[in-house]
Formats: sequence, C-alpha cells, structure tokens
Amino acid sequence: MAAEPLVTLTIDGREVAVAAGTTLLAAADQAGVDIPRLCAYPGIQPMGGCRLCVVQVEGLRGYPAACTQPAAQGMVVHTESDELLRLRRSTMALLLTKHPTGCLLCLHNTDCLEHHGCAARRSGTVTGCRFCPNDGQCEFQGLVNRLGLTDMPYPVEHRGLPVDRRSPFVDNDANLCVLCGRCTRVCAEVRGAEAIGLLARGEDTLVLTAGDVPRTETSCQFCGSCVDACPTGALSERVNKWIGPAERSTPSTCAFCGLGCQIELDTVGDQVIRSRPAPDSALCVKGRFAVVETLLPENRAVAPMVRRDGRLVETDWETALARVAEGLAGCAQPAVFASRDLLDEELMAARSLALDVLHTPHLDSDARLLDGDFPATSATLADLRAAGRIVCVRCDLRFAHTPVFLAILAGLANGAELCCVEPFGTDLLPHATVVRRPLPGGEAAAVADLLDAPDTVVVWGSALMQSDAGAACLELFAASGAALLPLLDGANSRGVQEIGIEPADGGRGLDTWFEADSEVDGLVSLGHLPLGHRPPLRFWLAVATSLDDATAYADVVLPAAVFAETSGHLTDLFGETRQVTAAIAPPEDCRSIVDIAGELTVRLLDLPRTAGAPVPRRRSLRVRCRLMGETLLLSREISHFAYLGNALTRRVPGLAPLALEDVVRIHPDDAARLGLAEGDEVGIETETGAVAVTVALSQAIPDGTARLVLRPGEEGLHGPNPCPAVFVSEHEAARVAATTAAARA
Amino acid sequence: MYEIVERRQLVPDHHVLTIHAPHVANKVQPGQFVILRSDEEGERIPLSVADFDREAGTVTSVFLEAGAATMKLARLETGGTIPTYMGPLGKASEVEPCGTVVLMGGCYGIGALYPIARAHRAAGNRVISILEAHTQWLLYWTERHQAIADEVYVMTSDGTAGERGLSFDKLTALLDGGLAPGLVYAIGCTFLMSSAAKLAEERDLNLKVALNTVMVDGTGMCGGCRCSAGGEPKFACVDGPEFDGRAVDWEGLMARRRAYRPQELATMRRLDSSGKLASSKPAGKGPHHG
Ligand code: SF4
Ligand code: SF4
Ligand code: SF4
Ligand code: FES
Ligand code: FES
Repeated sequence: MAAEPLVTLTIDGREVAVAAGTTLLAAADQAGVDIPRLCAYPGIQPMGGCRLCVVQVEGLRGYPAACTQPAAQGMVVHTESDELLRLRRSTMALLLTKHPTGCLLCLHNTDCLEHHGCAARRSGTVTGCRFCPNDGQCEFQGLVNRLGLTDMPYPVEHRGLPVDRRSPFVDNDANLCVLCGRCTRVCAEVRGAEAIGLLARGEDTLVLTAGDVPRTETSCQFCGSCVDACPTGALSERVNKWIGPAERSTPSTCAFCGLGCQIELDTVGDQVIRSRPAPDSALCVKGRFAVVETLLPENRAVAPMVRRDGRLVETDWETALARVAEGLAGCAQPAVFASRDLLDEELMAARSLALDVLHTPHLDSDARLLDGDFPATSATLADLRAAGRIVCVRCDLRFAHTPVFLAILAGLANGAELCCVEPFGTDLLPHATVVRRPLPGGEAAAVADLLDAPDTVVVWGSALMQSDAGAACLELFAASGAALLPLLDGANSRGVQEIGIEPADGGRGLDTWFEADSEVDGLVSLGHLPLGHRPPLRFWLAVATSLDDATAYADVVLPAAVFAETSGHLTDLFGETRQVTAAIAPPEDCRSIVDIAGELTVRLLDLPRTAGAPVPRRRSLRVRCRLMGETLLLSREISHFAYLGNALTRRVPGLAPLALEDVVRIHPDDAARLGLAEGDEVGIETETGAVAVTVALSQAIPDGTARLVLRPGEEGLHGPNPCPAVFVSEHEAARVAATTAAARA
Repeated sequence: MYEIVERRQLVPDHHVLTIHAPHVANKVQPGQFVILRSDEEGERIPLSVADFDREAGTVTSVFLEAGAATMKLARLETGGTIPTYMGPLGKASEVEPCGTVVLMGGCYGIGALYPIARAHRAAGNRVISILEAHTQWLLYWTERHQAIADEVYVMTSDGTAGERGLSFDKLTALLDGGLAPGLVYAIGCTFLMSSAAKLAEERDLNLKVALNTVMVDGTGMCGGCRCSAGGEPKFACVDGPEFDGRAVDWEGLMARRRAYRPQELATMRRLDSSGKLASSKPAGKGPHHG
C-alpha cells in the first residue's frame, strides 16, 4: 500500500503530522493530547454518537466530534475550553439521566468503597442493581470524575428493565447501558459475529440479539469481547463479579488448544479471577471464560488418594507414594501415558519416567488418537490473511480456534476465495464461494479438485482426523503443495511429536494397551485417558487434576497442578515455543507434574519388578440390543472442550450448552420420520457398542446422517467412523443404557 | 405454612414482604426481628420487622436483595407460602421519654426504623427522621415517615431528591445548628452505622445501631454475627439486634464479614450454574416511574 500523504496540524499548541484521513482523535492521541471519549474504541469504526469528544477547530463553525472529523493540513484544534467543558458536562448529565448516579456523584464514594470493598450489598444500594459489579474499575465513573460533574441538573429515571442472565457467562443489565455501541461494533467488526445490535424493544433502544433470543441461539462466540469493550457494568462477567479489580496480572499462554494464544491472567490473592486476551490477541470461549472455573479447588482433586476396600480414600503423600512403589513392583510391563496438553517439561519427565526409570517401551499420548498423524504446519495466520484460496475441511470455528476464523475473515476481506468441505453446517458457510456438503467420510473425494490454486491454504479440524477419511485427505493435502494448517486440539500435540512421546522399540501404542493379547499390566497416567472402565491392570497410578471418569478406577491418585499454577513451555501448532507462567500457587496438597515425576524417580529407579498374580480379563465390551429402528450414518468426534483429557464441561457448566456433548444431532426431517423430538432420549447401536443419548435437532445436519460429539474421557473412537448406526426407540434407550452400564461394571 | 400476603419490589432491589403470622404479630415489639426460610431446603434468613398489624395478624419486613438467600426471597410470589416463620426474636427497643430522638435509616433501614419511630412518637418524644438513599428512585416510605415524625429530612448521594449527601452529613449539620438529641438511631448498611458511630464518638451522642445486616442464621449457633461490643463478645442475633453504636468493634465486624465472602461467592456460583437464578426477572420500576 502506498503511504498516504502527511498533513500537519496543531492540537492544543502541539504540532503533529499524520496521514491524511486520520481522525482528530487519533491525531490527538499521537500528539499526546487525551480528549475525553466514550463511544470511540480501538479497533472499530467511529460512531460519533456520544459527543463527549467535541473540539473547537479554528475557522470551522460549531463543535465537531474529534472521533469522526478528519485532520486537514494547517488545522488549529483546541480540545479544552470552558465552553467545551460546559458542553461535555451537559452531554454527560443527559447520559446520566438513565444511568444510576448514586455512586457516581456521591461525596463519600471513596470511603464507602473502602469500607465495603466490592460487594453485592453495596451494589444494590448504590446502583439499584446487584448485578452491577461496581468494582472500582468503571471507565464511565472515570469520565464523570474527569469532567468534574458533581450535580445532576436533570431528573433521573430508573428504567426497570430485567437483567438478562441467559448467557452462560455474562450478565446484561440494560439499566446500566449508556448505548455507546462499543459492544455491538466490536462484535460485528472485530469478531465477525454480529450476535448483538442496538435494537428497539418497545420504546427503548437496547443491546439485544435479533428477536431477543438467548445468545446461545445466535452466532455469539462467547468470546467476551463485548464485555471487555463495555465502559459500564451493563455487560459483566459473572464469575468474577464482586471480587474487585485485579491485584496482579501474569502473561501466559492458553493451554486449551494448540494455537497458543497469549493471555493475561488477572489475580486477586491466590485466585485467578479473569483470563483475558493479551494485547493484539483474540481468544475463543475456552481461553476467555473457562480458565477461572477450571482452577477452582471445588472442581479438583486436591489430596492424594489410595484405594482401600474398593474405595478411593484421602491420604498423605508418603503413604500414597509408598503404595505406588509397592504396586508397580508387581507389574512386569507398566505403560506410561502423557496427555497432549502437558507442558514440554512435563512431557520430558514422562518420557524419562518410562524409558530411564521404569525401563518400559510402552509410552504414548492421546495426540495421535485425537489429532491424527498431523504433518508440520506450513501456513501462518498471516498466510491466511494473504491467501488466494482458503480450503476448510471440518472446521467448526465458533467455539474453538476462533483466531483462525478471524484470520479467514481478514483473508476474505483481502480478496481470498473460501472453499468449504463440510458435511455439517458451520458459521463459515455463508462466507464461502464454494460449498461442498459430502456425507461424512466423503471429504477426500470432495476436496480433491480444490487444492491446486495458487496461494492455497488448507485448514482442517480434528473431526476430520478422527474420521476414517482423515488419512486419505492427508495424502491429498501433502501432495498438493498447498500451505497446511492442521487445527490441533491438543495444547502440546506438537511437543508430543517433537519430544517423542511414542512407543519405543517393542512398545505398544495406547490403542492396543488393553487388548486381550497385551502384555501391559500396569499404568502410570499423567492426565486422563479415554477410558470408561477399569482396564485389566495389576496397578494403576493416575496423576490427575480431577476425579472424573476413568480416574475413579485408579489404585492411587496424585493431585497435580494445572497450567496457571506451573511454569514451563508449550510448542504451539506452528512449532513456536510458548512460555507458560504460573500466576498462582497450586492448592496446598497439589504438586506440579515435574515434581511428582521427581518423587517417582527417587522411589522407582531400579525398583525390582516381577509380575504378580494374573489379572482376570473381562469379555469384550460389545453390547447388543434388539434392532428395531432406522439406520443413519453416524459421525463421531471427541469434544474439543477438554483439558488434560478431562471434560471441561464438568468444571465449567456454562460450556455445556455450547458443547452439546453426548447429544446426537440429526435433521428435523429424519427426526420426524423416526418420531423423535428435541430432548428425547434415544438408543444408538453401532458395530462396536451402544449408547443412550439425547436428541437435538439441527438444520446443519444433512438428511440421513447424525453427528455425535462424545465427552472427552469416554471411549468412543474404536471401530469405523463414520459408520451406520441403528436408532432405537425411547424405551429401548433405557435398556441400552442399562446394558452398557452393566457391561462396564 | 405461612401465607405471603404481599411480596413486592418497592424500589429496585428493595422488597416488601408481608406474612400472615398471628403468633408473631401478637407479640412483636419495635426493634425485633424474625427468621424465615423461603423453601424447605433454604437457609434461615433474619429480617427486621418494619411494620405489624395485630388485628390482621400480619408482619411486614423490607429487605435488600443482595446475597444468594435474598435473591431467592425476591422470587417469592404474593399468595404463595413459606414453610418457616419464627419470631419475634431479639430484644425490643427501649422506648423511654428522652426529648428528641434522631433516626437515621438507609436501604432496608428506612423500613426497619418505622415502628421504632412510631413508638417514640407515641412515648411523647420529638422524632426527627433522616432518610438516606443513593438516588431519588431508591427512596421509599417517605410519606409514611412524614405521617409519624415531627421532621423528616431526605438525603441522596447525588442530590436528586432532598439534599446531596448522606444521613450523617445531615446529622452533623443539625448538631452544628444546636440540636441536642437525647437518643440517635442508625439502621442500614455498616457504612452508615459505622460512620454514625464515629460521629457519636466525636459529639458524645447516645447512639443505638441494629446489627441485623451481619447475621447469618440468627440462632446464636453459627457465630456468623459474632461481634464485640464494649470489649465483650456478643452475638447480634441473641444479644441484640440493638447495640450501643460507640461500643461496637466495627473493624472486627467488617473483618469477619470479609472472611465470609469467599463462601458467599461460591454459593452464588453454585446457584448461577444450577440455573435457578438464570431467569430474567423483571427488575420492576421505581415508584416515581408511574
Ligand atoms: S461474546 Fe463475542 S460474539 Fe458474543 S456478543 Fe459478545 S462480542 Fe459478540
Ligand atoms: S452494553 Fe456497554 S458497550 Fe454496549 S452499548 Fe451499553 S454501555 Fe455501551
Ligand atoms: S483458540 Fe485455543 S489457544 Fe486460543 S483461546 Fe481458544 S483454546 Fe485458547
Ligand atoms: S467518542 Fe466521539 S462521539 Fe463518542
Ligand atoms: S446469626 Fe448465626 S450466631 Fe447469630
């Protein structure tokens, strides 16, 4: 782009040269002159709505708004005068007629805040709304103070609007909204979501979704950008409300997928209260809203546990570690599992634990099972923005990898052509010029002729790699010469590959550890494996962060710290090393995995091991039920709402309506034919098993197919995928559930 | 089961709750409180009595919707029932002739003061009421107080009704003007009461405060309301609710309250994720909104 010609102007006596077309507000910022503003916000187009940024320009009549007025050669601008102050104060006072003023104009504001701290009780009495966080970080309050407004010349009103608490993470109290439009513009212009707008309801203009439906039913990404943009308490994050402003902030890396987004962890005392995007980064719902609740001790394994009389009971570290040594001494061939979400340092510790301490070749992670045999990434986000053609296969980017969604939108704005190969609908389809909707499993044939345009970038998600079409697609991608961008769900799948968490010579892979002919008889798991039952093992040590699912079957559980509590590195999907920094200390009895590995090394190094008594092997898990329904083509995938193999939805209930785990999505027409309605329980039987699940209807699912997102930690990817599945009736569902449970017990 | 004669939002987040409970209405005296539960599993909630009608057998309270328990309370419907309504509890106000009585009330205290003011008036005292709210649309019961008091002053922190400032600003002004009250009452949030205590210390006033705001279950069992008055450990629920404002250890009381906050936040989180508070309840209009 050719540089715009420069114009020179004077603002409050300071000379500044800016590109022609720059607004006076931006020019003033550049000159170091801070003009009061409300509706102007970085990254979005000016709206010129609040008129707090009014200035005087010599030779121009009236008071132009600095955020919309372009700078011109030789302009002489004044930003402060008695008249401007009078104008701004009266503008502010008008805004305040509909916003609570009790707190803003109170003579005792500081003493009161100091006395109460930030608390719901105080909020209720000062703002009339307990949902206002009233936490001393209100930009609006800052403006009132700056303008020195002390009296309300106009009558005030409370609009009595209901607080919208339907969003899983955010409260929307329209009584506090000053209609600056920052949230709606950020949503549309920065996030490309257009989930909310300034819309009319009755006599009021409000921030609403179209039709005032809950945000889950819109294109909302739950990215929180609107909350971050809001200058008042109108949009506020529920989980940290009333905790008050952060005391410290620690830059770190999100560990919920392989993109390695940079985050800032805000803390108060020993609690993380918020995770927000670092400057210049954008987050998905996981990075923005799932961190705080994942860390809460109430959702964690916080003490060592050993199995006694069939039950896990809490104990101290010494006892637990002694049990581990005793247990592993009786295992001839233990296996070591390391989750793909572990830090580099933790992976190295796992590797050394297997190869140098336990001297076992059975080492593996879940990276290959879930992210596939991914090749080296050869595209960057910048390549996406400059691409000629972008080919997306099985990319559901609304709640995961959303920075990639934003880069694709930027690429489109720069003239790229978007080709989508998606059996199921996604938010990208409306932007695509080529849309192919093969049946699940037919992706390779559908994508084959799309790969040879110049400057092509291919992007694919783990749903493809988890399906039987994955390998064929990979071959096509590799042969095409296109730049490749695999969207790894594992935070450190790349690290797993580089550090070599894989079976050594003579070792078995995770997928066959527990088969009938396997010699694996013991297990050390760092993070959770996808297991719904106790495998045939002599001894199992689970180093875990929660007691979900499989961990409940272990012999010893050692509580581990999670990513905001430990420091180390992750290798993101681009191959970059990212720094992870501890923001807080782990709960008292939890230890970092590296420390735990150290303790284990001391106790297990050169430990003599002999195989103990044989373990009874169970029969196969296969369940049969009476066939009575219809067959649909079922595509299975493991939910990306996972951390260390655990279901995030368990710890962060707000994610459940977004994740739709263990819910089978089918087309309304199929549902009608099968006599099924939204929310019905149904039994599904495939060649490898049967499950009872809930039905959800979706136009995005083609006729004759079904999409099942399985909760992480469940077995679910064995056998062909996609595969035909028999749908059985509601009555049968209960029986299926019972049989499945019985088979697992 | 006790019938909910009325549950209505007076002004945003302040609710009036009238219960048919003749056993309480018969005996209750100004200054006392009741304990109720909104449902069988609900926790016990202490509320001060803001009015009673012995003939009709009803007792009225005004409460602020602030924590998890009161949020549930605010969802009760007129005509419904509640399982528990215990009272009257706590010591009644001592009402004796003492010349001029100044009563300062904020938030739920505007209601809680009302029966006390009425009793002092009946005892022949000169009653001056100072009603405090943060803004005009959070004021309620002004007319009721006007009907029983000799003088009523309204204070709002933004000056949108009455004078700008809080109740103790007004009291300071009245004292500077030569007023010498025999007794001063402060009922409301701890900021109001502790600020009043500071003033009482400086001007040597006989100050009574009601510590209902700090109670948790109101039985003397949980220790939630433990406070120290005159150096003696006390329980607001059984030794109070009224105390000599100058003798209360406000620092200690606030420290205790802060210690309870993580628990309260965890309860709110549980309620939030249970979806029980998810419904968007109409906030209701203020009284000056037609
Ligand atoms: S959370 Fe993100 S996508 Fe949803 S409304 Fe806010 S800005 Fe828009
Ligand atoms: S909700 Fe907040 S950001 Fe959105 S218009 Fe209202 S005040 Fe502005
Ligand atoms: S896209 Fe990935 S790295 Fe970024 S915030 Fe979301 S989960 Fe975290
Ligand atoms: S900031 Fe310029 S009009 Fe709002
Ligand atoms: S409120 Fe629990 S002891 Fe008084």
